[in-house]
Amino acid sequence: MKNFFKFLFFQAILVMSSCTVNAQELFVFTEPASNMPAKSIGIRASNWLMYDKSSSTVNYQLIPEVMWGVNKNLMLHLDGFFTNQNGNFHAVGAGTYAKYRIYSADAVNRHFRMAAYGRLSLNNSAIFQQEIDLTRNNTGYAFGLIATQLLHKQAISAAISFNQAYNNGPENKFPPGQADQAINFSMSTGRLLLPKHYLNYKQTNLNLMVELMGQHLLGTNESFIDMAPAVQFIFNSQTRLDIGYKFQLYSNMQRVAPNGFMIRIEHLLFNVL
Amino acid sequence: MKSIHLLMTAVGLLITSVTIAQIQSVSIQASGLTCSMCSRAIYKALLKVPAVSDVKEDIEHASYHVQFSDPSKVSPDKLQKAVTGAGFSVAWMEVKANFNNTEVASDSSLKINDLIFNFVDIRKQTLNGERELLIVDKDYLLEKDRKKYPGSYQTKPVAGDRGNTFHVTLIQS
Repeated sequence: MKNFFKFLFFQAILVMSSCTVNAQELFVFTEPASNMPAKSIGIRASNWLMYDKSSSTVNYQLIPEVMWGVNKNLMLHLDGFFTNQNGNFHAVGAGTYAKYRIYSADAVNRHFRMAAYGRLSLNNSAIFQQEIDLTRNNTGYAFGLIATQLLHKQAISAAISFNQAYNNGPENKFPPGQADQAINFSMSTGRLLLPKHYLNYKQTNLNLMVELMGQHLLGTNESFIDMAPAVQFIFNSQTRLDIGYKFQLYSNMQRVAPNGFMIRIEHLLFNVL
Repeated sequence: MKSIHLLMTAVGLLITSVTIAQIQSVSIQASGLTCSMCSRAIYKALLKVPAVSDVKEDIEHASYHVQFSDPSKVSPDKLQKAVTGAGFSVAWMEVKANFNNTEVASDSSLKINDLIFNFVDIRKQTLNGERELLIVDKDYLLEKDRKKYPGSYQTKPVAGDRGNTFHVTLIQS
């Protein structure tokens, strides 16, 4: 009897994971190991609407980004960071990101890929938190590895990176005594829900994704883990709309605005170079 | 010396005389993808290949049927590079050609326009009408499927760029 319940429990876990562990690999909060097509350009605008607990306001951050598929293995991103911090909307920095595919094993409707990546960011905003975030708040660099497995309509991906933060320009020094190095890790999964059967490129695709993202500050025992479910629409096999909600599952470090929405629009221009 | 010249002329005549087949189209299945955005990336890349006039896609099976404005300019090499450039691999590539009393056997060569096809793992036969040639070279066929054609491993590898020489077998119809 006990074994039967155990069996039922594991069945339930399996069913749940196949339902919730969803979406393909065009993840919303992280990057997959796959690259965009060579000689193509992607443009995206990410809008972050994060709730600031200390001031009970919503921080708005805009990250416009241009992505370039240099060849089948290398892609480059250039992004700008804008915010409405201090009441007026202004630019606070810019960054660059490069990803290189180092391993690829393709089969029909499936693949396993690995990529190495690096990021360099400049940011001049004031530093109010322990969390190191090179896409929105900190000057510094990061490098890491990504592994992605695609199994027909389901994808799963994991990433790990080293992050180093510096002063945010001469006016906003990195707080002395605060950890300036961190390890970031993430697990992402997604599933293609619609269409059930592909007929043409005009069909709208619906992907569901769930991501777990964490950080550990080196030399401390401070960490956080966030969860981020997201829904993604792909129109005309060319334009993406992502709507995600990120929230803190666990943290013992000081963070300003860990919870909120991210809305992104992305358009891919195939073979324009 | 004279006899060598004669021999070379004879070989030259032999090669030109076997240009008796015409390429109709090329079919490709890509691997490593499921989403339509990925499929469209391949579709767009194939359309950019010189002499390609039309591409019919089957998104569900990640396969593409490619037609040409000038069949004499068909380049399996450029089609393969279009698929890998889009970020994926070729699962198989078949060249459909029209034959007219063409004799083929394992290890025989056939020149169609600028392309040279070396046959592997087939019995001696005469081809007539439309037939599909499956390219069995590395990067043109999934490795597990290549194993079905031991001849593809016995042939000498082509140095550097594959260019215009391919090893092919016949799909039994």
